[in-house]
Amino acid sequence: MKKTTERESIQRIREEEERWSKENRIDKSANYSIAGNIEIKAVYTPGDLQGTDFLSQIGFPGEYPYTRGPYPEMYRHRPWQYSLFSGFGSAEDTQKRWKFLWDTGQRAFSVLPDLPTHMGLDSDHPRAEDEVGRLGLAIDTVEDFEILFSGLPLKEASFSCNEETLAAVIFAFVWVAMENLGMDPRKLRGAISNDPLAAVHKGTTVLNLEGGVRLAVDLIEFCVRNAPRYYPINLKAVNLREGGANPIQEVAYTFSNAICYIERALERGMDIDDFASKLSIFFASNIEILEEAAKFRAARRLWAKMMKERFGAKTPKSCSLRFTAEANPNNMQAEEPELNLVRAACGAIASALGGAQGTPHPCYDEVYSIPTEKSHSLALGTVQILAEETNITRTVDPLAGSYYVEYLTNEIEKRVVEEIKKVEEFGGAIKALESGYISKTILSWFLEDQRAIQTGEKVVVRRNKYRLKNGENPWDYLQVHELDSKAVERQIKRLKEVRRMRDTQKWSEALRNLRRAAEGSENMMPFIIEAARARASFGEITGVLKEVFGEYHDLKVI
Amino acid sequence: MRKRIRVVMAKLGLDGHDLGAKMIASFLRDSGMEVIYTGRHQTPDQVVAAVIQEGADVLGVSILSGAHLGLVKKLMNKMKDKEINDCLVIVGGLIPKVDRPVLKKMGVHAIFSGGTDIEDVVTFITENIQR
Repeated sequence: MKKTTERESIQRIREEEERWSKENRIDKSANYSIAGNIEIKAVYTPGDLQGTDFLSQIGFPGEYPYTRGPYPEMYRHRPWQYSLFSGFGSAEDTQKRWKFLWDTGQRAFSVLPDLPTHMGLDSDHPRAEDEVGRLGLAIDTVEDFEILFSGLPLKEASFSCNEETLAAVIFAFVWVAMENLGMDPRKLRGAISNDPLAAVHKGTTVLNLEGGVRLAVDLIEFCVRNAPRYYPINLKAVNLREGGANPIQEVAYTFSNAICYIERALERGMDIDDFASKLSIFFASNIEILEEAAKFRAARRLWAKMMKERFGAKTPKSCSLRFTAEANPNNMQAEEPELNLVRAACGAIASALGGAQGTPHPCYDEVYSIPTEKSHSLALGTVQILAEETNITRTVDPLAGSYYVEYLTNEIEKRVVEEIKKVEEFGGAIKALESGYISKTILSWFLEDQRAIQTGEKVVVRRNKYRLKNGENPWDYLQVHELDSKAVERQIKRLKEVRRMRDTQKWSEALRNLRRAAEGSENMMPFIIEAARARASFGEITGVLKEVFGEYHDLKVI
Repeated sequence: MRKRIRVVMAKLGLDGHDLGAKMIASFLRDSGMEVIYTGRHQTPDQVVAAVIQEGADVLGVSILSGAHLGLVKKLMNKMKDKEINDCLVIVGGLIPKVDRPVLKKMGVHAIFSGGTDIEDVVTFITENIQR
């Protein structure tokens, strides 16, 4: 029998595909185009994977290039980390919800600060009025973390925080609060966003970008030396996605931001293998399950190559990307909000199939309100069912070898590489952001997508198709979280009390020393920690940084 | 010839989620209006200053943070102080049903939330513009 070569057999498959297309009158002009203009055919074959080498490009989980996952067995024997975040009112209110999530099986404490905290304003600042504790936890002084942490089993859990620009100040507060409570901050596990470049897309950039990046790298350096189990940067890809980006833009601009932080750390003389394994990403998963799963596989492979080839990383840990992925909150709709349970579950399936290490999860009612205990329970239960009832974790990377998914993985990787190159042509992430290029590119994609929804070309069930004729108004029956005005009063009273009781001399000296460090080139972390010990407030510490580095001015791109 | 309708689109307060504002701005522009975007994190004073400076026929305010009652009250008081009576004020965002009549009472002309058909916004503006 004649042995056919691979080339001959691919040729034969392509001919057969052509025949099949003709016989079945497959209209090629009716192909679908997905994000990044990847054209989707009716069917995929080995002919679409010519040149894809199994061992070097797909391989085995836990091994370079990590396409299939960072760990050999992934989540076959234990679930990934459930990591819903919450934060509202004052520390007492948030702690109560954390305890509920703990009792329901989550071993991660994850907080979202309120808008004034994100912007570095104390709760009694005039611009903070109306917003204190509304969408997140109000944080003013170390005392807030002392209340938040007291009585919590932090040894058995991780602590994470969604704070992009001022992560270093949050971390300093956490550090001092743990010391004061007799816990060892050096053993802390968890992750903090610490990504001022991604904050541009969420509108929470406080310091000018250069200053913000220096502060971020200070925290990375400090944690690598002093808190080795902590992930000091959790790049906020999700901010890009919530800011309208498509999956290719999400990965490309997040990697460009990563390149910026890495280069700054290397310029300080840090060794890539000392900190590469401490970088992680917080992605979004859209409802398009297969595209998103392929995106994660492409991202891991590209990250591994980038670490090894561009930055010369030598250890396996440096090359394997770890990430959390949250079903994209932008997919949540106002019409018949219960359907968001399904949309969010689709995103979480993509995260699971793509091999995420953690799954924050949006709540079905978040279009209307921050989550109630009930909607949090439904969100946590959704990811628990996926991880522990469906068997999709029983074998690693089950989509590998799918002609379509492997093709998509290759295509997404290729397009991400092209987009990263464009950012480099601007001179890197900071310049590309300041020029408005990135915001404009994202907005142009987003508007195209929204027009498709307006015209009905893109279906959103209950919004532009299958509308309910006499549907109930969700405002009439949803239990909406109310801001507790007493929590706001309590918060402001506590802040004033801390200001009144502190040692003024120690306080002013600590802030003076911080200013000097910021004006020089020393790592600012020890000085921020010292200021936190002297009970300087969040707004006061940020105020010093703002004065030294200058504030960020929003680009008015429309 | 009537001059083009001028719209100032503003993000009021600390909320940075501005996709909705940008989307409406872009669609209003497509329908022939002139749109000026203030950027994020605007105080009521800054927004009113923009309305005066631009001679706006319409002010679109986007708030998704839930802080609309306090912020819009400050904004409308400021509008009254400056005796701006000919500007159509539209609030967009996450506005609970019970708060809608409260905002209307403060002088807001219309409230639109997510998922609104853009044609409805255009029609409202062209039919109600005060000039």
